[in-house]
Amino acid sequence: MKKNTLVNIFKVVVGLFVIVVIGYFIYTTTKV
Amino acid sequence: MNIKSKIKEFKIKIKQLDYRHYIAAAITIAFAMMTIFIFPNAFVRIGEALRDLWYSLCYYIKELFYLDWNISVSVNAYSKVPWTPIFGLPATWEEFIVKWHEYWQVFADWSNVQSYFSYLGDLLYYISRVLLLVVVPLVLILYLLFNRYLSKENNDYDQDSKALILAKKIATKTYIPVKDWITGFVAFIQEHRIYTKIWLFIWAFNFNLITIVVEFVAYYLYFCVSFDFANMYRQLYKLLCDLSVPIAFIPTIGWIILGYLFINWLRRKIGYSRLEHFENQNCGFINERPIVMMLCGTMGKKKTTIITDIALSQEVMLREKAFELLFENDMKFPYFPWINLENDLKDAMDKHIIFNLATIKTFIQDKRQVWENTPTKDNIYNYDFERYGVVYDDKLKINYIWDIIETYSKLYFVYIIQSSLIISNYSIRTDNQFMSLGNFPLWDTDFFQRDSRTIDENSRYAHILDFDSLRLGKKIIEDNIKKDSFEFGVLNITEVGKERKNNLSLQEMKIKDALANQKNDGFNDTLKMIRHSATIDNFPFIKIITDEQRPESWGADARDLLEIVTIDETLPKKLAMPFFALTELLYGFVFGKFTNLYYKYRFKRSDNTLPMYLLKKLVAMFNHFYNGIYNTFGYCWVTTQVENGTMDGKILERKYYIMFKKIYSRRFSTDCFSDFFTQKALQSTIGIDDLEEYGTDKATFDELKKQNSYFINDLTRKQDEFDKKKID
Repeated sequence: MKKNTLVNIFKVVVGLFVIVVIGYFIYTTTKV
Repeated sequence: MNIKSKIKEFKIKIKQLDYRHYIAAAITIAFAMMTIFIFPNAFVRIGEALRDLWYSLCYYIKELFYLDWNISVSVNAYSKVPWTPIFGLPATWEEFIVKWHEYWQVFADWSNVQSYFSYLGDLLYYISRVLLLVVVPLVLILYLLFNRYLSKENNDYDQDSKALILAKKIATKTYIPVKDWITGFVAFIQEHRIYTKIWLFIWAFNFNLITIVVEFVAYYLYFCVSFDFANMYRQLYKLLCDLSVPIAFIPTIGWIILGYLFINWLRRKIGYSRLEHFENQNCGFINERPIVMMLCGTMGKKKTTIITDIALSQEVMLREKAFELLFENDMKFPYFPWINLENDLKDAMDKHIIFNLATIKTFIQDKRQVWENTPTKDNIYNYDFERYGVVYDDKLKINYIWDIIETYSKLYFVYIIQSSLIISNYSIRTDNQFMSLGNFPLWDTDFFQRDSRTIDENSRYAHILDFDSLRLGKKIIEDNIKKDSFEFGVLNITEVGKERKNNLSLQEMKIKDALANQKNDGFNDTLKMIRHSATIDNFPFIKIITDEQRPESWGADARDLLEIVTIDETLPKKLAMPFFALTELLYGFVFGKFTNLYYKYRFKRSDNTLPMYLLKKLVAMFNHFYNGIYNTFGYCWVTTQVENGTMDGKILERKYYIMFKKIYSRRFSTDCFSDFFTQKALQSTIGIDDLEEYGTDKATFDELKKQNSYFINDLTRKQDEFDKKKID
C-alpha cells in the first residue's frame, strides 16, 4: 500500500475518532 | 394618460413578466406563511429584543452622561416564550454549577460509555442495513451485468444498446428538462438577488438570528457601562433558547448537508490562505535575490515553470512597490491635489506625449519651468503652494515639490500601465485586473480565485523581447526603432546560454567583427548598468530572470553579476486544502477499479451499454470534482541551492513553491520553441513508422552504416584502411 494511502487512512481514522469523542460529549448532555 | 390606459399598460407588463417571478413570489409567500403559522414566537422574541435594546440604550446614555433617569434594564429578563435551550442548559448559574458536576460524573461513568457505544452500534446497524438493502444489491446487479457484457465480444462501433436508447429517450423527456429548468431557475434567482435577500431575511427572522443580533447589541450597550458579569450566563441561556428553534426545525439530513457546506467553505478558506502564505514565502525568496538571477537544472526540472512563476510574482511586487512609494510621496505633500496631476499624466499618455520614464522627466521639467516663470496655482495643478509650502524636510534632506511631482509621476506611470510589465523571449499570460472608477485605480492581483472560464477576456501577454534593446554596442538592426525602448520591468530570458553562449563557444567571434555578435554588442554592459534606467525613488524597478541547463553555458563575465539558483529536487504534489483524506481514499478505490473495468470493456467491446454509460458518467463527475480540487489547491515545492555567480561562495538551501492554479492556468507553453521543430518536421516526408528496424537482436554491418555516426564512420574508415594495406 502506498504511503499516501496510509496517511489518508490515518487521517480518516483520526477524524472519526474526533467525531466519536465530540459525539460522546453531546450524548452525555442528554443524560444529565 | 388616463386610468384605463394605465391599467392596460400594467396588464401588458404583467403579461410580459417572466413566469418565474410568480414562482419566486409564491415561494416568498410560502416562507412568509411559515413565519406566521410555524414561527409565531419569532415575533414575540423580536419584540422583546427591541424592547431590551431600547432600555439598554437609555441605560447607556444615562450612565454615560450621569443623567437622573429611572430605567429598569430588561436585557437580563427571561423570555416569555417557553423554549428549552439546546444541551438542556439550566436557567440559572447555581443550577448550572450543580449540573456541571453531575455532567462530569456521568461523563466518567463506565455505564454511560457503554450506553453510548451501544447507541453508536445501533446507529451503525441502521446505516449498514440501509447499505445492505440498497447499495449491495445495486453493486451485485452491476457486477453481474458487467460480467455478462465482458463475456461477449463485439465490434459494434459506437452503437447504443436498446436499454441505453430507451434510457436516453426517458432522460430527454424527464431528467434533462427538469435539470435545465432548475439550472435556469437558479440563474434567474442569482440574477434577481432581491428574492435571495428576502428569503434570507425571512429565515434569519424565523430562526431568531435577527433577535440574537439585536439582543447582543442590547447586552453590549448594557455591559460596557455596567460590567455586569453576573448576568452573562443568562445571556448564554437566552442565546441557546433562541438557537433551539433552528436546531429542532432542521431535519438531520439538513444538518448533514449544512455541515458539509460549512466544512467545504472552511476547508476552501484554509486552502486559499495556505496558498497565499506560500506565495508570500515565494516573494521572500525573490526579494532575497539580486537584480539578475539564473535558474539552472537538467531537463524537466521545471526551470521555465519557475522563472515564469517568479516573473508573475515579481510583476505584482513591482506594482505593489510603486503603490507603496506613491503613498509615501503623497504623504510628503498631503494637500497636493494629486488627482489633477494623475489626470494630466493620463491625458499625456493617451496622446503619446508620455510613453517612458524619460519622457515623464522632460514633461514635468517643462511644467516646472512654466511654474517657475509664472508661479500660479494653475501652473502647479491647482496646489495652494502659498498656504502649504513647496518643501518638505524629511530630516535627511529638503524635498522640493517639483522633485516629488516627478518621482510621483514616474511611479504612477509604472503603476497604471495596463499591459504586462514582463518582457520575455517566450509568451507569458498575466491576468491582473485593473479596476478604475475614473479616480485612483486599484489592481486585483490574485492568482488563486480566478474563474478559468474568463481567462480570454482578462488576459494580457508578455511583451516580445527585442534583444537589440539590451545591446549598448552593435545591434542586429542598427536603426531598430526599439533599440532604446527598454527601461524597467521584468525581463525573462529562457535558455539564455544558447542566446549568449560561453567563452569557449565564442572563440571564433571577434570584437572587431562588422556584424553584431555576443562579443561586441555590449549586452553585458547593459546588465551591469540596467538598474540606473529603472530606479525610481531609490528603488530599482527591474528584475532579470534567466534559465539554462548548466551555469557554465553562459559566459563568466555575465555570470559573475548574478546569483545561480540550482534546482535540486521537485517534491511530490500536495494539497493545500485540508479535510480531503476520505475523498482521496474513495477516489483511489473507485478510479482504480473503474480503470481496470473500463479498459477490459474497451478491449472486448465497442458498443455503448446502459450500465457502462451510467458508471462512466458518475466516475467522470467524481474525476472532474477531484481534478478541480487538485488544480485549484494543488502545490509542490522544489528545493534549490543558491550560490554566487562566481561559484566560489557559500551555498544556501532554499524552498520554492509551485502552486498549480497560479502557474498551470495557461500561463506559458512548456514547449515554447516547439514551432521551430514543427516547421522542421513538416519538411520531412517520413515518420517514426517509416524508419527501418533492425533485423535481429544484433545489428548487421549495413545496419550500423545507416546510422551516419561519427563513431561507426571512424571504424569503417579504419577497416577500409586496414583492408587496403592488406591488399597492398
